[in-house]
Amino acid sequence: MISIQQVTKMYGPKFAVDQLSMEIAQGEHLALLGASGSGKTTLLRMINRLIEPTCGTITINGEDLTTQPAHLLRRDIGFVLQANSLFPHYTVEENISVVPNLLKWDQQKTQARVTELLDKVHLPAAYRNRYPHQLSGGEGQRVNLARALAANPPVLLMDEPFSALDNITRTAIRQLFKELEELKSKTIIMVTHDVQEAFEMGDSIALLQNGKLLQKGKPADLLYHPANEAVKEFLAGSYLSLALAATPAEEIWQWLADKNNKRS
Amino acid sequence: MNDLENFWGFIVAHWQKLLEQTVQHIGLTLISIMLAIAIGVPAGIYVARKTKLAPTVIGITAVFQTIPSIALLGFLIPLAGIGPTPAIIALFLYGLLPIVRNTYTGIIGIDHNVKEAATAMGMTEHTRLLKIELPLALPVILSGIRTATVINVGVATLAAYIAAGGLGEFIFGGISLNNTNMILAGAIPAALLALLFDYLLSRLQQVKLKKLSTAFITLPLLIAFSSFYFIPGIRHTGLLAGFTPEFMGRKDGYLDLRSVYDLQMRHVVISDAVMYKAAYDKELDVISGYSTDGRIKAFNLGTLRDDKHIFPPYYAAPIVRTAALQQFPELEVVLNMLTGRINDSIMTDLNYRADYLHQEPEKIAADFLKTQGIWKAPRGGHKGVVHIGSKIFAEQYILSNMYAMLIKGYTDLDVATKTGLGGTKICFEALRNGNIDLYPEYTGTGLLVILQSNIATTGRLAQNKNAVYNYVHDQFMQQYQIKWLQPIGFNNSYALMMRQAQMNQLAITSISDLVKFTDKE
Ligand SMILES: Nc1ncnc2c1ncn2[C@@H]1O[C@H](COP(=O)(O)OP(=O)(O)OP(=O)(O)O)[C@@H](O)[C@H]1O
Ligand SMILES: [Mg+2]
Repeated sequence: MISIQQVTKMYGPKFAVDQLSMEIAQGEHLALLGASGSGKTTLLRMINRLIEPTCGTITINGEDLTTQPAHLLRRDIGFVLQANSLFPHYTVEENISVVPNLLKWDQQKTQARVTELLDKVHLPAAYRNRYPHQLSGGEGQRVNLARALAANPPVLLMDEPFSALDNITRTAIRQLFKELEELKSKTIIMVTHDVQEAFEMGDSIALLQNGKLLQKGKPADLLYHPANEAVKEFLAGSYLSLALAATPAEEIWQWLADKNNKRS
Repeated sequence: MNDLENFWGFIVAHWQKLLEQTVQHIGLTLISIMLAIAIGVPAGIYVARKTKLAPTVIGITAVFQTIPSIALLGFLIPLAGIGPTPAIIALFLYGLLPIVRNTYTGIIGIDHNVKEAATAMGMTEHTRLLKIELPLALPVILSGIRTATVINVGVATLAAYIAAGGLGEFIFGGISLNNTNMILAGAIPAALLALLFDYLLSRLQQVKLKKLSTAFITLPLLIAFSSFYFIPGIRHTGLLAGFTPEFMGRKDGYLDLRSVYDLQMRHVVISDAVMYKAAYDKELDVISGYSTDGRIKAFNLGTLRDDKHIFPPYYAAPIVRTAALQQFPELEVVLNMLTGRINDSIMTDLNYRADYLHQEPEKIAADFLKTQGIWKAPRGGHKGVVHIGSKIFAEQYILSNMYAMLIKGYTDLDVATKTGLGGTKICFEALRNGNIDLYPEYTGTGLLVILQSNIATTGRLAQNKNAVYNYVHDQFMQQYQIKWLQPIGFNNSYALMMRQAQMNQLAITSISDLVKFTDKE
């Protein structure tokens, strides 16, 4: 669905993203993983044209991003930043209604959508009249997600959406993200530098280093069939816990059974 | 209690004038602030986009603020003349800095994530500005507007110097007429206005301004308010007079001009610092000047004959605290050395050198003493320090320099000068409180402004300059322990002046001619 072809972004002489190509399928949940400075954010932002590539092309459904004005493109792409990106002078309801209003939805439809989304992200209906400073970090991030989903965009981009949250809250929100029915059908690209998070949230992972793509594939592929030493090295630190996360329980039983059979 | 009654009495007697000045003051402030908003907010927005330009643009607006207000008004006269236009331009320039700076910092200070979110949601630049940036920056912008408004209420008092009206008319009139009630009648409303505007804007700041439109509701309100003050057309047909605040309040000034000559003429109030130039530039046709002023010659003005004798001639003489004379007895002889050496035409010529040839008052003073053969090199004595004051005009600067040189040359005393005390009241109060020991004063001013003598007394003394001298001499001694030394010799009196060319063209030579001419108009 999203096709990135030979995309490069240079800052002065430095390559933030270096001749990178990848395909992202409809409904794929991709985790962009990599060390700090590897180019994850830069790549993500080129997809909604917050950053323009130095060269290369990006298409969505075969259509080059640059064929329509950037602001129209962005209305079809949900974007979740870290915490504190809500508009402080807008209520929760007004925050969520931003894109529907830009798209000139009628009031009733928008209001109904706000009600629906508050329910989906597990916030009490009464919160619609609160201001962002009256919300906890976790609640803020739920609103943030609701805001990104408001106009039903087919694509959702997220840049370290959980990084500003404490551990317990983060777990709860991740859980919400995983369970949310609405998200299942969407194409999602999520940036993270947390390996655990990438394996937990992504049904595929793209590992970046110095602006280049090291490997893109299913979590288990990266783990068991690393494309090169660099991938192996990157994942080495948390191999065991990742292995457990990436491997379905039946497979483990199977594996244990095999061992037992061999022994007897 | 009595003072309060006096003050109240003044207000009651002059409430119409006070109201008029207050409305003018509000008008000057609001019009200039609205211009500053109209230009300053977009400029602030612009430099918040092009941050590289910010230091330059904010720097330029800051420069305007560093120019002393009176100097800024002075610069503007050749460009915009006198009256409300240059005053509004000056106030506008003053208001610009806080508004541009606060708009800029208000927008720049918004959380980067918030701005980015707005763009990422698909807002256009324009929508983002209107819906996100301006509302979030509004409290900061409003506090800039607040600062600018309060500054401008204060600076607008100076508009009275250039015939733009406002509460400064009472303030400066009161200062030069030694009338505390008049000063307060201008200063108190000005202070109240500043407080009022500050309060109203602070209320506006507290209103949760979600949508910018709410803020703009107040705008038409402001426009309606300031339209009370329509800019009075300076360029009417017919002659226009400019009188100093002091002249306006003196019996031997505007009051007798009305009662004795029955002159009915359009006039504005203006500072003598800019009045002569304004007459020369044809902004004004008739002005109230001093007969010895060098600018009469410099600007080719002519003096109207005072055919009904309302401007009596007055002596100029140094006035000295008796305490200082007791401490330094040698002072009196030295100060009297000028006696008889300067007549009317010599004084006019000395003033001309300062006002037109732009020679330093110090040089003029030294040159004169040398030609008189009474200049002596300073002895460099340290027996004590004499403080000499002067008002803000050439004649006073020149005389105070002469006294300084004579004292340094003939005694072992040292001299400190405090020149440029802006008006009779300030000068005289400085003398009375011992901040200065002496300054040159005029008997007429002593009689009418300082002693505030009643009509019976002035009527009795009128026209006899020696009688006036004797009267103020005795009264000052009794009331203030201040001594009038010997008259220097020249006479100074008020005079009405016009451009020489216009006098010739209209065949006006006397004040009565002028009255006849204006009646015909
Ligand atoms: N505006 C910029 N100007 C110059 N260099 C930049 C700019 N933005 C990013 N870079 C550089 O490009 C490289 C990639 O940056 P990017 O923000 O994409 O990294 P990242 O993978 O998101 O890192 P992190 O995990 O720390 O957020 C970095 O080396 C960074 O210094
Ligand atoms: Mg990043």
